[in-house]
Amino acid sequence: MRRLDPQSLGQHIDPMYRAAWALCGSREDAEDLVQETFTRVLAKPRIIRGDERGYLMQALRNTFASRFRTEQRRPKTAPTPDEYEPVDTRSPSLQRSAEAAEILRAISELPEDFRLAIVAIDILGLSYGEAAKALATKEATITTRLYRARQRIATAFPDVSQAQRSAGPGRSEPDRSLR
Amino acid sequence: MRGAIRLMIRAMRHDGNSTRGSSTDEDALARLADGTLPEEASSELRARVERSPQLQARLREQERSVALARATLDTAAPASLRTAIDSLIEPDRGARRETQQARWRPWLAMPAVLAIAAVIAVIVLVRGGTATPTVEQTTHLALAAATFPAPAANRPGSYVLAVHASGTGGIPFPSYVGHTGWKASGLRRDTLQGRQVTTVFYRASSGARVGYSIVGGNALKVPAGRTWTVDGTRYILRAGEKYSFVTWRRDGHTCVIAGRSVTSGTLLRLATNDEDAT
Repeated sequence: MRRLDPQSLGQHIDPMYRAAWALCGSREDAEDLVQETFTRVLAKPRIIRGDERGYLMQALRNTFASRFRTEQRRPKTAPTPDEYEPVDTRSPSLQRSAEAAEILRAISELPEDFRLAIVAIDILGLSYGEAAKALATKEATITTRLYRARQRIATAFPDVSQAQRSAGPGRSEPDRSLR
Repeated sequence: MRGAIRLMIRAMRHDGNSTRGSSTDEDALARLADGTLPEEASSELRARVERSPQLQARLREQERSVALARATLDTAAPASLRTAIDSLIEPDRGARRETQQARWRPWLAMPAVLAIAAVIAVIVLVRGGTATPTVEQTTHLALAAATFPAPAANRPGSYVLAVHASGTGGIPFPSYVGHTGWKASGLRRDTLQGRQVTTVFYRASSGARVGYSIVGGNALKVPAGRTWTVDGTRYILRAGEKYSFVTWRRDGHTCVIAGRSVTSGTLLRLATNDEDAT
């Protein structure tokens, strides 16, 4: 057991942001979720056991559960077409970031248990044991959920070269509805 | 751990070729795909995978998903979020220092406080009480309720609203046409210690709300806070538990954007987008 050092939290902002994005599916909500999580964590001195990132994952999950579920119940207005930000997909870096956004959004559409497992292990980089502790469940359960979450993601983003080898040309678009 | 892995491998020997597979298969394949299966168990499992097309397909799925997750590693948090979190981390350091000094500071500071209070009282009496409003007081107006309906955009698609801040020579308010979901939702006009304060309220599609106030007359004293400069304009952020605000100057007039349950990052994005309004 040790005291959480607030100064060391800065290094976790990027992974927490990706994890939050994969949890809630939008960049803006991810920013809000990360800031809310850090605000809660820093509100008072914390004693932690084990890894800092595992503790932050737990805090992220709790904040997501308490705040974002309530918000999701509110009716939302869909943006009109001219409100979408144009993306210049000619730039390779923008292409990569558009792909990343699509992957994170796809993860956010998984059932919650699957989503949390893949976020904890593949996005945040926790060990299976740390993930199980952060998500208050058994390691075997986490592994099974992770396996199934990955199956769905792989189905939504098939390996084009592999698919072409096995199915030939004219293959239809993958189904990215993951629920 | 090793015992559990051995059990996984043993189970796979029996039903590794079934399409559905057991949860033990799933555990072993998931760990093999991300490299967390111990070496000995990995070689044994890989040998089995080589002999089974079904297991090969299932392992490929796992590896594909791991690769996709790793492709998101370049995604970094925006600078505004980093700034907002830094501002949460740094006050903590200040607070701890304050706690350590708290025991002796009041006694040391008491004579100075009394002297300053006396000087202020004399100045106020001599000048007849002409105080200037503070940014914090303006923030309360930005957090208050609207008293007029939402102003319309200057024209369809315009970057500015058809409303100007009083006492500023006509500074317009932004329409935030480029910000997904943010739309003007109300207006209020106040007089704060002789200064005209115009506030436009905006609401996001998520229900979040901010108030944007512009104070007429000379600029107000800049409060302490996290500071940075964008395109030559200095922005000061104060992030609190109940509300946060950003203040800056436009054409020599003080502007404040404040909101509850709105992140500092969002406030900063709205504040720094002001070039659209000029």
